[in-house]
Amino acid sequence: MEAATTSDRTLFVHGNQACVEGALYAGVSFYAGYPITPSSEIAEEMSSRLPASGGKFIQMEDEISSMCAIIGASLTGRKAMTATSGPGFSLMQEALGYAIMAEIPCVIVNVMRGGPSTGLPTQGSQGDVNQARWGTHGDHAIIALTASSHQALFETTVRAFNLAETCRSPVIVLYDELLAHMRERLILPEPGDLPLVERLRTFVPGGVDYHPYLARSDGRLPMSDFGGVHRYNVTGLFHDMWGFPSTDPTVVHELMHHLHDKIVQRTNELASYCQYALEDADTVLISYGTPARSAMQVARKGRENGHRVGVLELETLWPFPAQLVRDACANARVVIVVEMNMGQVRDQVRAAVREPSRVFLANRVDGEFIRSKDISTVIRLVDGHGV
Amino acid sequence: MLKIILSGVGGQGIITAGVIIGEAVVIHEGRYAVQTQSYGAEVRGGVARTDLTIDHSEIYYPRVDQAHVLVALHQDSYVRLNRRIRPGGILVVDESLVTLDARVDARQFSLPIVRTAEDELKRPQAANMCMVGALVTMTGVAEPESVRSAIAARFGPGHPNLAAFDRGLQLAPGRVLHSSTV
Repeated sequence: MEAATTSDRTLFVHGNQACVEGALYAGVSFYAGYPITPSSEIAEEMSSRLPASGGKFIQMEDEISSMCAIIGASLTGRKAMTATSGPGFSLMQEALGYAIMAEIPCVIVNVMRGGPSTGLPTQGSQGDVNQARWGTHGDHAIIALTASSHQALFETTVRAFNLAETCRSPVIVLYDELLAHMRERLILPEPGDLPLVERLRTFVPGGVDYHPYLARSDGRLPMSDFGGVHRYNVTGLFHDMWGFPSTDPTVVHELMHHLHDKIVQRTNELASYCQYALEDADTVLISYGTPARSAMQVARKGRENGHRVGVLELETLWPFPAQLVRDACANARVVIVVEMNMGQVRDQVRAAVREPSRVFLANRVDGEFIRSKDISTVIRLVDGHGV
Repeated sequence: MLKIILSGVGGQGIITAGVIIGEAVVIHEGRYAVQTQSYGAEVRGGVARTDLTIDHSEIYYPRVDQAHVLVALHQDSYVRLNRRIRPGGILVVDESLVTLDARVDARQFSLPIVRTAEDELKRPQAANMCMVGALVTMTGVAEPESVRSAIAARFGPGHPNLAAFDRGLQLAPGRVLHSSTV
């Protein structure tokens, strides 16, 4: 048992509040959004917390304007975010692509409910994994993170803000309704416990030419707060180092590679994950979000009974950590992906491993949480023991 | 590990009762608790249910499929959820709102929770806190003092919910759950 009286940094909160606490810790100072179940508590909490700490909260008329507003706020130097669920995330896709092209740091939280369309508003799902990857059009790279506990969600949200700044990119935080609405312990880290990445601002003084899209040797692009000392152009068109539209094949080619490489070439570095008993596992469970909790339950019980079951829990979904998955599954007899959709990550795992025929799916798509039994049943079937 | 389902009708404060117990356990005792709820579109009416799992170590699976303890403050939730109790488990109901069914395989306790809140405390909305009090006495789910701290932190020092909780402590017949794991 831990100390009988815990400090006031110990909270018993729902997941949406854990996300808000993480965002505030990371330094968010602007939120624009249109509340939607099961993400609404994020807007509710932000609407009181942000004004109280000198930030701005705006309830917008829809998700299109919400996404546009955080892009504008970010350009002026704010750490900005919005939160939504699948239907709202659909509406954000056009502006999300703009933020990718114009390299504007921001964080988009998508609390996943059942879809398509308005679907299952109050129940959980993980059906938006591929939407996060390819919801917006055109070749692009994206970062999407997830978590299975409130402590991890707090840290994931902080990391999302950090990566948005480091990569000058939108970062998506995806989690399911169950995590959003269940309550459990969250211990708020002290200031300084988690590293924070602040806005990289240009040293170019006013009156001197500033090139908003000229990368430094490390690939990062210093920003100038829009409306400050520099006047520059921001566009969704392919653009040159001044930010002006260009169809010059060299300019287009280099920008496309820059946007792609700054994320995809860091895939291994961006891969955040947890693992349990993988060393000698012949049955590897790959999961993420709350289904990973059931996978852990199954693995721990399996180990108690002498079965060699291990868990790889992914906290980075995009860019997909293919090498990590390949290595974790190298000696596996069976790989079972546990998720609340029709196999969106299962497909990625199949593409990553050397023996795709050994990859199976344990899923639920009825709005109900995946139980340990749902996973054990698939293990029994795959092992030839029937249900 | 102790698994509890609290249930009733929307508006009775069932979810709040679960949150108070969770706060007492996590914030004031340093143990682990996970609370989930059925979450529908209704604001009032309909079955309200919250699942609580309490343990000394990290809890993975967050739902309660089979409860050690089930509380039903309404007939509908009693009928719908009594199969969720493990055989021989503890079932606590409100005396005026629930008619017991002898076929249910559980140790069933019918307590005057709502009547006490209405007639004695003149505060019908505090029935949920009476229920938490009775539950603490019967199961030892949390220390009375840590529940008082959680109530005071949430509602304010001296809040009538504290008196309702203390009254609830005396409503129960005594400790009926003896578990070394909690």
